[in-house]
Amino acid sequence: MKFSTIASAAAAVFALCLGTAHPASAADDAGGFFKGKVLRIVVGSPAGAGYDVNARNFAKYFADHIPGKPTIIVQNQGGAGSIIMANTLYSTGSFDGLTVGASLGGIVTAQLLNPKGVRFDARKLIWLGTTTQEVHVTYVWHTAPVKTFQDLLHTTLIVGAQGPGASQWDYPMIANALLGTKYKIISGYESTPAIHAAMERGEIMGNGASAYTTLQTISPQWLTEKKVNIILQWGDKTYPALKDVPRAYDLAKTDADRQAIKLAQIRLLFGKPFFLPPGVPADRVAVLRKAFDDTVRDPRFIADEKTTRLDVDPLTGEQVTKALNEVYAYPPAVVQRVRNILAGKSS
Amino acid sequence: MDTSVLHAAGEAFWLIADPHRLIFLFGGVCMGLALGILPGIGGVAGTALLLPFTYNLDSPTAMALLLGLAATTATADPISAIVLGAPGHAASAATTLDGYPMTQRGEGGRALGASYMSAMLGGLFGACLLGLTLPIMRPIMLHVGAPELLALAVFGISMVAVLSGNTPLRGLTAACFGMMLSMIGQDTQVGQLRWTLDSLYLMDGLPLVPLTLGVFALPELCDLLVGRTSIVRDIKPMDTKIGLMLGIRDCFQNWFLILRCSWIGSAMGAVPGIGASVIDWLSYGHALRTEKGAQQTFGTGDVRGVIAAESATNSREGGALIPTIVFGIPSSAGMAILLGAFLMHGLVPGPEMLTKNLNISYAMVWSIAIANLLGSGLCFLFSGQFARLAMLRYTLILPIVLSFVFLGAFEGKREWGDLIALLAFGVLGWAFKHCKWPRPPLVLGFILGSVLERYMFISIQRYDLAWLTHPVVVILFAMAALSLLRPLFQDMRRRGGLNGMLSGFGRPSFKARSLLPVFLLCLFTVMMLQAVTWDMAAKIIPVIVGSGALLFGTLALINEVFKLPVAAAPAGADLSPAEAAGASAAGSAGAGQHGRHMDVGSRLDHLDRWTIIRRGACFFLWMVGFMVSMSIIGWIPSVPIFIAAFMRVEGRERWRTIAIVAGIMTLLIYGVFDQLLEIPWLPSWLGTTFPNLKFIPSV
Repeated sequence: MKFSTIASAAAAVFALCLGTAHPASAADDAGGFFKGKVLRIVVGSPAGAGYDVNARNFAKYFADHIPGKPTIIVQNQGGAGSIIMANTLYSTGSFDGLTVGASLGGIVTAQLLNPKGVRFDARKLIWLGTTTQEVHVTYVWHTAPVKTFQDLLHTTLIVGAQGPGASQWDYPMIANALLGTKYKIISGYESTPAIHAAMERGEIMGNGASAYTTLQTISPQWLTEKKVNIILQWGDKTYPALKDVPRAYDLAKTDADRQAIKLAQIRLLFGKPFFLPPGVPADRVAVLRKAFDDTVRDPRFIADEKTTRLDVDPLTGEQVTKALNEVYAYPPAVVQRVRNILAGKSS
Repeated sequence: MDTSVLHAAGEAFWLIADPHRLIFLFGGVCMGLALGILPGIGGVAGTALLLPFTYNLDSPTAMALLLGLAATTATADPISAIVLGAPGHAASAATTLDGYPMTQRGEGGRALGASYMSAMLGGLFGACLLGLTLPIMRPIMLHVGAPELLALAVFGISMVAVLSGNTPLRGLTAACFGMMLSMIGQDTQVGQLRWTLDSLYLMDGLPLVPLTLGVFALPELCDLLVGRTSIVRDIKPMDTKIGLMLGIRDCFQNWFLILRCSWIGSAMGAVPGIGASVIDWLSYGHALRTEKGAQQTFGTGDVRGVIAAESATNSREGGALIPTIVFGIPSSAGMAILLGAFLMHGLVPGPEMLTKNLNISYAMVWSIAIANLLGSGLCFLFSGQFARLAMLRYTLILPIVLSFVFLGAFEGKREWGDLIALLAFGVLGWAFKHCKWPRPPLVLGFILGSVLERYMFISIQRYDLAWLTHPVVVILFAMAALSLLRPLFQDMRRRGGLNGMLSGFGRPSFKARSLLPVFLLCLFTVMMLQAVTWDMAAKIIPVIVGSGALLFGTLALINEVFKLPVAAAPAGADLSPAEAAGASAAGSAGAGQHGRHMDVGSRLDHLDRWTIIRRGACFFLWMVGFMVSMSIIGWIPSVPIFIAAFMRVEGRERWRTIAIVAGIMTLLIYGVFDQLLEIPWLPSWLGTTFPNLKFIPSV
């Protein structure tokens, strides 16, 4: 073979390789783009966790709502509360709309409240929306001396938690600092079911904050048999089934307190969010956001979520982004105050 | 037993006996065996893979499929441990100790036969125990609180004494080091990041898989390269046929040992946080202490060692289901995924599983029992021949096994950290092996250390010191003290009491092998200097454990440098092949009375030290090369390049052989890991720079 032939072949290969990530020309419509492609949903939790089941329910129907019906695969990259997954997607993509992250809600404020190791900017992620908003509640074993929120203001309540960073730890700390409650937190339990077992055997009296749906999922008999009293709820809105339970946000006395609570609980609003890494072309974002909204309204998806005892209370990508921008506009003092409280320093 | 329970059990049997479900169970078993045989690949990945497929199945069928897989990965697991000396998974590390020397003697078939049979009996026992106790376990387990679990962890750690063999000080140092490693990551009291080297990878703690693969599998693989031979050096026929039968006979002769070890396996399997990788050592330690003459022959190819480890490992699945079913607390990673399947099928772990869904619970019991019968049966039918693998050249075995070990470690967190940890612990494990430091205490400390810290905080915060008077706590603490102190006193008496131990010191003689304790002491010092700056709650236990490590490590070093060699029993009795053969003779002659060194013999005595170090370094450089290539051109393209380079450079293999091996391995890894398991590969330089090349898998 002549050298010139080899050289020109090499040049051709090189030119092909140098092509950019988004070769699609403007004329190429985003709908056609997904045809025959593989779309990855990367779940930031280990296989089998509630977030994973939610993402897999979603993945079953997502393709049906995307023009061109790409093949969807689900991968798991758990660890550090989805931060590892978010870091990976943020830095290495892909940025063509074929990689979607499904994370814990906590990554939305990770860079503000616990920035160690966070190498992404939540404001630059492209949010597709969330399948559900969460409401977290304090529930107390029926034999405990604390029966109502009022009791909690003068009687100590021993609650179990996994550790700092989990709402079971964070929310009681905030309530103690801002609302004057008397939670005593015992941390180190390996999971919420382990906390439930400890409640049943009398080692602790309750759980300071876990999703109401988690309680419904793992110990439904506690609700039907009235084994626990629910005394406080956290979330952006009152849970329909819990109209008589006071909401932490409403109990706050000053605007500063309300902002602190709002910052701490925005992760509940984000619930079980899905996002794209930055840089995805706008037309594809529009296609995927619409597909997201259609999927969460798909009766088959709603039925699957019901079987798996997960809630569907969706928000669109635009809605969660608006909430995010509001919180990120708070003065730095609010952020610092919440960080101090969570670190055990007085507010 | 309540008639309704019997009724449910009977009903469940007919549920599972349905041919349609049996086919799924059989499918799960086949997959479990296939994954188990691959060194480094455990059942967790397989269970995760099957999870989405169970969507459209009814609950008993889904459970049959998943449990078929989960119950049998451990059955096929010991094949690489026995034949290659490299445990495919942490759960069969203890099997290596006696299984591998048996293979080296040409008794690989017998070891495999014994392991399958004891696995089956252990698995059946676990299922029986689960079936019998399921209705009563919930109230019983409500009496087991944090203090009881803490005491159990302490008792488990006390096994270090017996697993350290004739080097108790080194064992204690290793155990403390293991516990320090378990405390890496964010602490649960104040959220302090401990020893994370500022990496996100270590924030949730060091994962177990790269650590155990590094500590147990890599050193054996490395020594294969150093020795430059096949595993069985002399060409003699391997006992593939009669061996299997012999192994089965061994099991029936040792039925009581199987019963005891299965009991340990099931009971420990039920405790959250105590994984398979400790159970085999606890059971092995139990056998070592209770079986007649075990002190002399264990570790040199005693079939009872294989039986003890394997029966316990397989019986645990039954035990592990108990907390999963009755509380929704998974005691292993595999069970956590099973819980996901519960969720998908609308099953709620808890009292409902013992009333409304009791038949499904019993369907799981039957699934485990039948899966064990099928799994061991299939192994007997097809894998006697596996023992012959040991006769292959190292240039064929090594690149294949190494490719799988990398993938296995990657199950940790799917990050670069997994591979770096694998390499680091591989080097450490190899140094441990050659300097005659016991490796099991390191893993024991690692697994039980985090359990210990967790429950100690809960116990003290909740009960102050009152928990120390709980009856179960008192009993377990007493047992732990006995198990820790008795071997120490025996050891002291043998050495002529305190006086005898304090005498016999001479002028310092510094050997190259003392570099390991020196290195460890430096490491401990650095770690301690960091630890003392943390908050009280975050540092208290690491500082206590670290002080222990420094103390025992210093004593071990002093002992090593100043102790005069004793003529009758050379320090750290070597297990050269000659000695292994004459082990029983040595035992009766008194030299083995000091207890054995807890490790596989290295068989490299004919090589001088520098050759060993040079070739060992070569081995780890090959690994580094693989990782560098992975970072540049991606994982899958690196596989054929690595295999070809290794086979050509190390062994001058023919290109035809190389092409076949490299081709098959690349296709296999692409098919199973890229297409089927959908592993998220590490981004490579090539893929990041030239996005158009991303059509190549894993680039």
